[in-house]
Amino acid sequence: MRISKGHIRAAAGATAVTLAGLLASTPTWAQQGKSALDTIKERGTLRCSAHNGSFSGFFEVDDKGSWKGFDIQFCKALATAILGSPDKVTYVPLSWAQRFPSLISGDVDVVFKATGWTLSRDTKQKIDFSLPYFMGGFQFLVPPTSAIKSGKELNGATVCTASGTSIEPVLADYMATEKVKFKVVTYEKGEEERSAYANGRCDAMAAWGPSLAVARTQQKELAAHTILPITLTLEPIGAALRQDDKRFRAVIDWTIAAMIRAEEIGISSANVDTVRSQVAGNPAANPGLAKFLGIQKGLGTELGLPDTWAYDVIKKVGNYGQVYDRELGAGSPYKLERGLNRLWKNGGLIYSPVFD
Amino acid sequence: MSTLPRMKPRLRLPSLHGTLPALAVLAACLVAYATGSLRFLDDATSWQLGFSVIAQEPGDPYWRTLGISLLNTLVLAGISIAAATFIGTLVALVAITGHPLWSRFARGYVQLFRNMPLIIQALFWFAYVTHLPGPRKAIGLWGVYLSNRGLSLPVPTLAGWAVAAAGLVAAFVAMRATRSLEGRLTHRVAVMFLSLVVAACGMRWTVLANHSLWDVPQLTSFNFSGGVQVATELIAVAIALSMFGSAYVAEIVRGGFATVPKGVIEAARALALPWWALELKVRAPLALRAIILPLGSQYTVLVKATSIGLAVGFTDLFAVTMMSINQSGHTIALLCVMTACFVVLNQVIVSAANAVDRAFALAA
Repeated sequence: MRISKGHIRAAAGATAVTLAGLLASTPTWAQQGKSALDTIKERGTLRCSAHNGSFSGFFEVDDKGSWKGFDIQFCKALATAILGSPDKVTYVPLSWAQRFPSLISGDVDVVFKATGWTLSRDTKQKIDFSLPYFMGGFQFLVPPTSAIKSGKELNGATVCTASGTSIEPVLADYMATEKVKFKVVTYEKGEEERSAYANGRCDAMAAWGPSLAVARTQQKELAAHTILPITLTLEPIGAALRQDDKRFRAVIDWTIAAMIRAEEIGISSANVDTVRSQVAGNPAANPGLAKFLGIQKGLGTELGLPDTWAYDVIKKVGNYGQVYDRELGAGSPYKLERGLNRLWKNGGLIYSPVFD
Repeated sequence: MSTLPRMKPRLRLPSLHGTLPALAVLAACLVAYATGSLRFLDDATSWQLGFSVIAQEPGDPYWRTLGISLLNTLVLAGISIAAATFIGTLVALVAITGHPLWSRFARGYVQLFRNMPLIIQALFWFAYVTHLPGPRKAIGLWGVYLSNRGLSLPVPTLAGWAVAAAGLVAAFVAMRATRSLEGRLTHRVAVMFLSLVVAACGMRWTVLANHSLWDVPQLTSFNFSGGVQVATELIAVAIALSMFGSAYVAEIVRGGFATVPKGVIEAARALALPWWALELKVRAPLALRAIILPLGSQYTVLVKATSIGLAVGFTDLFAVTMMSINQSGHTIALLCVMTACFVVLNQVIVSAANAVDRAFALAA
C-alpha cells in the first residue's frame, strides 16, 4: 500500500486530537478512585518514597539496598500500623523533582521525604500534608575562609542549591526582601551540589539546616565550614499524600501522633510490653492507656486499623524520641541536637493531638 | 563528449509533508491552550535560573522562563554543533590521510568518545571544570579569565561597537570607490584596510576619546563582574557534547569520503588535475553529498542530548521543565510543551538538511 497524502493527514489529525485530549483531561486523572488505605491493604505492601542516592540521616541506602534513616522510620511505622510489619514497605527511589508527579500518578502511596508544607503544594499541586513530624529551617553553609557572617554580605555571591525543592522560591523571596542579589546555581543531585560547593564553585550553599549539619559531620572537607545563624524560613515537614483522601490522611496523622504521644507518656519499644501487661491486669485504672495500647476496643475501628496498631508501631519501630536518637541524635553518627524537635513540654515544637 | 550541466545550488522551501507531525504537535498545544490547560504558563515562577542568556527574574511568568531555557538549549546546541562539526571534520581528515600514526590516533579518538556514555563524559568534564582554580587564582590572558566559576570574556562596549562600525563602513565605502582598480586586488585590499584603520582610529581618538572600548571582567569581592560570564555548567556540558558529537561527525565525514568512487579519482588524475583541484573540486563535492543527510540527523541527536544538562545543573529546556513540574505540578502539560519545542526544533534541522541536500543533488 502506498502511503498517500490523505493517510498522513489523517494520522497527523488523530495525533493532534489525542494529544490535545490528553492535555485537556490531565487534572481529572489520578484523583478518582478509592482510598490509598484500601489499595495498600489489597497490595499487602506500602509504596513509600526513597531517594536517588543517600540523603544522610533521613534516607540512606546501604550496600545491600536496604533503607534506613529518620524519614524511612515513618514509612516503617505506617506499614506497621496498616499491615502489621515494618518490612512490608516497597521503597521507590525518587529525585526531589519526581516525588510529586510520582505521588499524583499513584506510583507511591505516600511521600516521607523531608517535604515542607507550603501553600502552593497544598493547593496548586493537589497534595495534602499530614501532621508535621519534623521542623527544620533553610540555612547557608559557608567555607571557613569566607568573610560572610550574615545574609546581607552575600551580595554578588554565587549560591549552590538543590533543584526541585521549596528552597528556590524561598531564596528568591529572601533576595527581594533583604535587597541582596546573588546568583543561584541549582543541581538535581546532592552529590553534584556538594562537590561543586566543596570545590569552590559557589561562595555558599543554601540547604535545609539539618541536612547541612549532617553533611558537615559526614564530609571531612566540610567539617570546618560554618552554618550561618540566620534561618531563611522554618519548614514544618509532613508526609505528603494525594488530596482528598481523608481516611488515609487520618491513618498517617495518628500514626505520627501515636509515636509522639508514646514519648510524651514515657512508653518506648523497650518497656511497652511491661506497661501493657500492667495495664492489662487492671484496665479500669488507666482506661486511656488501655485503649491506646489496644487492650480495650476503640482506637482502631474508626481508622480502619486493628486495635493494636499503636502498640505495634511502638513495639516494632519505637516512639518519636527513640527514632530521633537512633537515626539523627546521640545514637547516630550525626549527633544532631533535638532543638526545635523536642517535645512541646521540653520547649520544642513537636506535639500530638489528643487521644480520647 | 557531454558534461554534467553545472547547476547553481538553489535552496527551496521544504515541502510540508514531512513537517506534518511537528505541525500536529503545535496544533495540539494550541488546542490545549484554548481549553485552558496551559493557562498556568502566565503565572509567576518565583524562582531564579542559575544561568540564562538573557536576564531572568523570579517574577517572570512560566512561558518566559521556559522560553529563556529554550534559548539556553539553543545556545548550547549551537556551540556543540559548531564545535562537533569542526573537530569531527578535522579528525576525519586526519583519519583519511592514511598515515599510520595519525589515522590510528583519529580512530582512537572516535572509539574513545563514541563508546563512553554521554552522562559519564558530562560528569567528568563537570568535575574537571569545577576543579579549576578559584576566581582569585583564575587563569587569565588579555581579559579572558577561566576559573571554577566559569569563563569571563571581555565584550565590546557601545563605543567599541561604534568604532568597529566606523571602520567597517569606511572599508565598505573604500571598496565601492576603488571599483576602477578591478583586477589589482592587492592595491584594493590595501586601500580598504588603510581606510578601515584610519576611520576606526579617528573615531577612537576624537569622538570617543574618553570612552573605553571593551567591557573587561573585573574581580569583585566574590567573582568577576563585567564582560560576559559563561557558566561552569555550560562549559562542562558543551565540552562533553562537542567531544561526543565530534566522534560521530568524524565517522560520517569519513564515511562520506569513502563513498567517492575510485574511478572518478583516477579519471581526475588521468586529466592531470593538480592535487588541490582533485581534492577540492572532485573528491570533496562528491563526499559532501553523502554527508549532508546523516549530518543533519546527527545534529538532531545533539539537540536532544542537551537534556544531559540536567545532570550537571545547567538550566536547559529539559532541566527547567523538570523544575517547573516540581514547582507547579502541571506534569503532562509541561512535558507536552517541552516535546513540542524539541519536535519543532528538530523538524527545522531535518527540513534544512533535506533542503540543502536537494539543492546540491546532481541532476539525474
